[in-house]
Amino acid sequence: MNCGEPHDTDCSEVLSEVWLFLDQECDTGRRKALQTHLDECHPCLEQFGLEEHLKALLARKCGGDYAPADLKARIRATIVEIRTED
Amino acid sequence: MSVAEAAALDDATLVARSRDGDMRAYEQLVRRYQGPMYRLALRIVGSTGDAEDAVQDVFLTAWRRLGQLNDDGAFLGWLYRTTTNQCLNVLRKRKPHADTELDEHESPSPRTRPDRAVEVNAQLDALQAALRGLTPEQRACWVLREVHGRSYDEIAEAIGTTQQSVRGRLARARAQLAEVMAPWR
Repeated sequence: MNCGEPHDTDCSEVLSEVWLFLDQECDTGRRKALQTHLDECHPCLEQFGLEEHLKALLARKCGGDYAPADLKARIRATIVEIRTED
Repeated sequence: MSVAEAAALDDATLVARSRDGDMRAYEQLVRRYQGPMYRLALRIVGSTGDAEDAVQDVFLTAWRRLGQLNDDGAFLGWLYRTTTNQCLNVLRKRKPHADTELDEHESPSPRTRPDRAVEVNAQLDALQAALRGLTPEQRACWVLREVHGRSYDEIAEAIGTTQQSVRGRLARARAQLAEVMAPWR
Protein backbone atom coordinates (compact mmCIF):
# COMPACT_ATOMS: atom_id res chain seq x y z
CA MET A 1 0.00 0.00 0.00
CA ASN A 2 1.21 3.51 -0.79
CA CYS A 3 -0.66 6.79 -0.33
CA GLY A 4 1.19 8.45 -3.23
CA GLU A 5 2.70 11.18 -1.05
CA PRO A 6 6.48 11.37 -0.58
CA HIS A 7 7.62 10.14 2.86
CA ASP A 8 10.97 9.30 4.39
CA THR A 9 9.52 5.93 5.37
CA ASP A 10 7.39 4.03 2.86
CA CYS A 11 3.73 3.37 3.78
CA SER A 12 4.00 -0.39 3.26
CA GLU A 13 7.02 -0.43 5.56
CA VAL A 14 5.11 1.46 8.25
CA LEU A 15 2.08 -0.82 8.06
CA SER A 16 4.21 -3.95 8.23
CA GLU A 17 5.73 -2.60 11.45
CA VAL A 18 2.61 -1.12 13.01
CA TRP A 19 2.32 -3.97 15.50
CA LEU A 20 5.95 -3.59 16.57
CA PHE A 21 5.12 0.05 17.18
CA LEU A 22 1.97 -0.81 19.16
CA ASP A 23 3.84 -3.44 21.16
CA GLN A 24 6.65 -0.95 21.85
CA GLU A 25 9.15 -3.43 20.47
CA CYS A 26 11.11 -1.15 18.13
CA ASP A 27 14.09 0.97 19.11
CA THR A 28 13.78 4.69 19.76
CA GLY A 29 15.05 5.75 16.32
CA ARG A 30 12.64 3.48 14.49
CA ARG A 31 9.80 4.49 16.76
CA LYS A 32 10.47 8.14 15.97
CA ALA A 33 10.48 7.49 12.21
CA LEU A 34 7.19 5.58 12.38
CA GLN A 35 5.61 8.26 14.59
CA THR A 36 6.68 10.99 12.14
CA HIS A 37 5.14 9.06 9.27
CA LEU A 38 1.87 8.52 11.16
CA ASP A 39 1.73 12.22 12.03
CA GLU A 40 1.85 13.22 8.37
CA CYS A 41 0.07 10.33 6.62
CA HIS A 42 -3.69 10.11 7.13
CA PRO A 43 -4.30 6.69 5.47
CA CYS A 44 -1.63 5.05 7.63
CA LEU A 45 -2.90 6.80 10.75
CA GLU A 46 -6.40 5.51 9.98
CA GLN A 47 -5.11 1.95 9.60
CA PHE A 48 -3.07 2.36 12.78
CA GLY A 49 -6.23 3.51 14.58
CA LEU A 50 -8.08 0.37 13.47
CA GLU A 51 -5.27 -1.88 14.70
CA GLU A 52 -5.14 0.00 18.00
CA HIS A 53 -8.90 -0.36 18.39
CA LEU A 54 -8.76 -4.08 17.65
CA LYS A 55 -5.94 -4.53 20.16
CA ALA A 56 -7.99 -2.75 22.84
CA LEU A 57 -11.15 -4.69 21.99
CA LEU A 58 -9.43 -8.06 22.17
CA ALA A 59 -7.58 -7.22 25.38
CA ARG A 60 -10.84 -6.00 26.96
CA LYS A 61 -12.66 -9.20 26.01
CA CYS A 62 -9.91 -11.34 27.51
CA GLY A 63 -8.87 -9.48 30.62
CA GLY A 64 -11.44 -10.29 33.28
CA ASP A 65 -11.09 -13.94 34.21
CA TYR A 66 -10.79 -14.59 37.94
CA ALA A 67 -9.30 -17.66 39.56
CA PRO A 68 -11.84 -19.72 41.54
CA ALA A 69 -12.02 -18.67 45.18
CA ASP A 70 -10.98 -22.10 46.48
CA LEU A 71 -7.99 -22.62 44.17
CA LYS A 72 -5.40 -21.37 46.68
CA ALA A 73 -6.87 -23.58 49.41
CA ARG A 74 -6.71 -26.62 47.11
CA ILE A 75 -3.07 -25.92 46.26
CA ARG A 76 -2.24 -25.50 49.94
CA ALA A 77 -4.00 -28.74 50.90
CA THR A 78 -2.08 -30.71 48.27
CA ILE A 79 1.26 -29.24 49.36
CA VAL A 80 0.51 -30.10 53.00
CA GLU A 81 -0.28 -33.64 51.84
CA ILE A 82 3.03 -33.88 49.96
CA ARG A 83 4.97 -32.57 52.97
CA THR A 84 3.30 -35.13 55.23
CA GLU A 85 4.31 -37.92 52.83
CA ASP A 86 7.90 -36.61 52.78
CA MET B 1 5.34 -14.26 59.66
CA SER B 2 1.88 -12.72 59.28
CA VAL B 3 -0.05 -12.49 56.01
CA ALA B 4 0.47 -8.70 55.99
CA GLU B 5 4.23 -9.12 56.47
CA ALA B 6 4.39 -11.68 53.68
CA ALA B 7 2.45 -9.40 51.33
CA ALA B 8 5.06 -6.67 51.77
CA LEU B 9 7.98 -8.91 50.75
CA ASP B 10 9.34 -9.15 47.21
CA ASP B 11 9.32 -12.36 45.17
CA ALA B 12 12.98 -13.18 45.76
CA THR B 13 12.58 -13.07 49.55
CA LEU B 14 9.38 -15.12 49.42
CA VAL B 15 11.03 -17.70 47.16
CA ALA B 16 14.03 -17.99 49.50
CA ARG B 17 11.75 -18.44 52.52
CA SER B 18 9.55 -20.91 50.66
CA ARG B 19 12.61 -22.97 49.81
CA ASP B 20 13.32 -23.16 53.53
CA GLY B 21 9.86 -24.65 54.03
CA ASP B 22 7.96 -21.48 54.97
CA MET B 23 4.44 -22.36 53.88
CA ARG B 24 3.07 -18.86 54.51
CA ALA B 25 5.67 -17.35 52.19
CA TYR B 26 4.69 -19.75 49.43
CA GLU B 27 1.00 -19.09 50.02
CA GLN B 28 1.73 -15.42 49.41
CA LEU B 29 3.36 -16.27 46.07
CA VAL B 30 0.31 -18.35 45.16
CA ARG B 31 -2.02 -15.51 46.20
CA ARG B 32 0.05 -13.05 44.17
CA TYR B 33 0.18 -15.03 40.94
CA GLN B 34 -2.71 -17.50 40.83
CA GLY B 35 -4.89 -14.88 39.09
CA PRO B 36 -2.53 -14.09 36.19
CA MET B 37 -1.64 -17.78 35.75
CA TYR B 38 -5.30 -18.79 35.73
CA ARG B 39 -6.11 -16.10 33.14
CA LEU B 40 -3.22 -17.32 31.01
CA ALA B 41 -4.24 -20.96 31.30
CA LEU B 42 -7.92 -20.28 30.65
CA ARG B 43 -7.17 -18.35 27.48
CA ILE B 44 -4.80 -21.00 26.16
CA VAL B 45 -6.73 -24.17 27.04
CA GLY B 46 -10.18 -22.60 26.78
CA SER B 47 -11.89 -24.56 29.55
CA THR B 48 -12.21 -23.66 33.23
CA GLY B 49 -11.63 -27.23 34.45
CA ASP B 50 -8.43 -27.71 32.46
CA ALA B 51 -7.23 -24.24 33.44
CA GLU B 52 -7.72 -24.93 37.16
CA ASP B 53 -5.94 -28.28 36.89
CA ALA B 54 -3.06 -26.70 34.98
CA VAL B 55 -2.58 -23.92 37.53
CA GLN B 56 -2.75 -26.35 40.43
CA ASP B 57 -0.12 -28.56 38.77
CA VAL B 58 2.09 -25.55 38.05
CA PHE B 59 2.14 -24.33 41.65
CA LEU B 60 2.77 -27.85 42.95
CA THR B 61 5.60 -28.33 40.46
CA ALA B 62 7.01 -24.93 41.43
CA TRP B 63 6.91 -25.86 45.13
CA ARG B 64 8.77 -29.09 44.44
CA ARG B 65 11.37 -27.45 42.21
CA LEU B 66 12.16 -24.27 44.10
CA GLY B 67 15.59 -25.73 44.82
CA GLN B 68 16.38 -25.76 41.09
CA LEU B 69 15.66 -22.05 40.63
CA ASN B 70 19.03 -20.31 40.26
CA ASP B 71 17.77 -16.74 40.50
CA ASP B 72 15.08 -16.17 43.13
CA GLY B 73 14.05 -12.96 41.37
CA ALA B 74 13.24 -14.89 38.19
CA PHE B 75 10.30 -16.72 39.78
CA LEU B 76 7.60 -14.96 37.75
CA GLY B 77 9.27 -15.64 34.39
CA TRP B 78 9.71 -19.26 35.43
CA LEU B 79 6.02 -19.42 36.38
CA TYR B 80 4.97 -18.04 32.99
CA ARG B 81 7.17 -20.58 31.23
CA THR B 82 5.89 -23.51 33.31
CA THR B 83 2.24 -22.50 32.91
CA THR B 84 2.60 -22.01 29.16
CA ASN B 85 4.28 -25.40 28.72
CA GLN B 86 1.70 -27.11 30.90
CA CYS B 87 -1.11 -25.62 28.80
CA LEU B 88 0.54 -26.47 25.49
CA ASN B 89 0.89 -30.07 26.67
CA VAL B 90 -2.82 -30.15 27.56
CA LEU B 91 -3.70 -28.90 24.07
CA ARG B 92 -1.40 -31.35 22.32
CA LYS B 93 -2.99 -34.28 24.14
CA ARG B 94 -6.50 -33.06 23.45
CA LYS B 95 -8.56 -34.20 20.47
CA PRO B 96 -8.57 -31.64 17.65
CA HIS B 97 -11.40 -29.11 17.92
CA ALA B 98 -12.41 -30.11 21.43
CA ASP B 99 -15.07 -27.66 22.51
CA THR B 100 -14.03 -24.84 24.78
CA GLU B 101 -16.36 -23.12 27.19
CA LEU B 102 -17.48 -19.53 27.11
CA ASP B 103 -16.50 -17.82 30.33
CA GLU B 104 -19.45 -17.26 32.61
CA HIS B 105 -18.34 -13.83 33.78
CA GLU B 106 -18.48 -12.55 30.24
CA SER B 107 -22.06 -13.56 29.57
CA PRO B 108 -24.31 -10.53 29.24
CA SER B 109 -25.98 -9.61 32.52
CA PRO B 110 -29.76 -9.99 32.82
CA ARG B 111 -30.02 -6.18 32.82
CA THR B 112 -28.40 -5.92 29.38
CA ARG B 113 -30.83 -4.86 26.66
CA PRO B 114 -31.78 -7.94 24.59
CA ASP B 115 -30.41 -6.50 21.34
CA ARG B 116 -27.13 -5.58 23.08
CA ALA B 117 -26.95 -9.02 24.70
CA VAL B 118 -27.22 -10.68 21.31
CA GLU B 119 -24.36 -8.55 20.01
CA VAL B 120 -22.15 -9.24 23.05
CA ASN B 121 -22.78 -12.98 22.72
CA ALA B 122 -21.98 -12.85 19.02
CA GLN B 123 -18.70 -11.04 19.75
CA LEU B 124 -17.73 -13.59 22.39
CA ASP B 125 -18.63 -16.51 20.16
CA ALA B 126 -16.58 -15.02 17.34
CA LEU B 127 -13.59 -14.46 19.61
CA GLN B 128 -13.79 -17.98 21.07
CA ALA B 129 -14.01 -19.47 17.60
CA ALA B 130 -11.10 -17.36 16.40
CA LEU B 131 -8.91 -18.37 19.35
CA ARG B 132 -9.81 -22.02 18.76
CA GLY B 133 -8.70 -21.64 15.15
CA LEU B 134 -5.15 -20.67 16.15
CA THR B 135 -2.39 -23.21 16.66
CA PRO B 136 -1.53 -23.78 20.35
CA GLU B 137 1.74 -21.86 19.93
CA GLN B 138 0.05 -18.93 18.18
CA ARG B 139 -2.59 -18.80 20.88
CA ALA B 140 0.03 -18.87 23.64
CA CYS B 141 2.05 -16.09 21.98
CA TRP B 142 -1.04 -13.96 21.50
CA VAL B 143 -2.35 -14.42 25.05
CA LEU B 144 1.06 -13.71 26.59
CA ARG B 145 1.35 -10.53 24.53
CA GLU B 146 -2.19 -9.12 24.49
CA VAL B 147 -3.59 -10.24 27.82
CA HIS B 148 -0.38 -10.30 29.88
CA GLY B 149 1.70 -7.63 28.17
CA ARG B 150 4.83 -9.79 28.04
CA SER B 151 7.66 -8.61 25.79
CA TYR B 152 8.70 -10.59 22.69
CA ASP B 153 11.81 -11.62 24.59
CA GLU B 154 9.81 -12.93 27.55
CA ILE B 155 7.40 -14.77 25.25
CA ALA B 156 10.28 -16.38 23.37
CA GLU B 157 11.69 -17.56 26.69
CA ALA B 158 8.32 -18.83 27.93
CA ILE B 159 7.70 -20.86 24.78
CA GLY B 160 11.30 -21.84 24.15
CA THR B 161 11.69 -20.23 20.75
CA THR B 162 13.24 -17.18 19.05
CA GLN B 163 11.98 -13.58 19.00
CA GLN B 164 11.68 -13.88 15.23
CA SER B 165 9.41 -16.88 15.60
CA VAL B 166 7.30 -15.03 18.18
CA ARG B 167 6.87 -12.12 15.74
CA GLY B 168 5.75 -14.50 13.00
CA ARG B 169 3.28 -16.33 15.22
CA LEU B 170 1.86 -13.08 16.54
CA ALA B 171 1.45 -11.69 13.04
CA ARG B 172 -0.44 -14.79 11.88
CA ALA B 173 -2.58 -14.91 15.02
CA ARG B 174 -3.48 -11.24 14.71
CA ALA B 175 -4.32 -11.50 11.03
CA GLN B 176 -6.70 -14.37 11.78
CA LEU B 177 -8.29 -12.66 14.77
CA ALA B 178 -8.61 -9.36 12.91
CA GLU B 179 -10.50 -11.10 10.12
CA VAL B 180 -12.96 -12.73 12.50
CA MET B 181 -13.42 -9.61 14.64
CA ALA B 182 -13.73 -7.23 11.65
CA PRO B 183 -17.50 -6.67 12.11
CA TRP B 184 -16.88 -5.21 15.60
CA ARG B 185 -14.01 -2.90 14.76
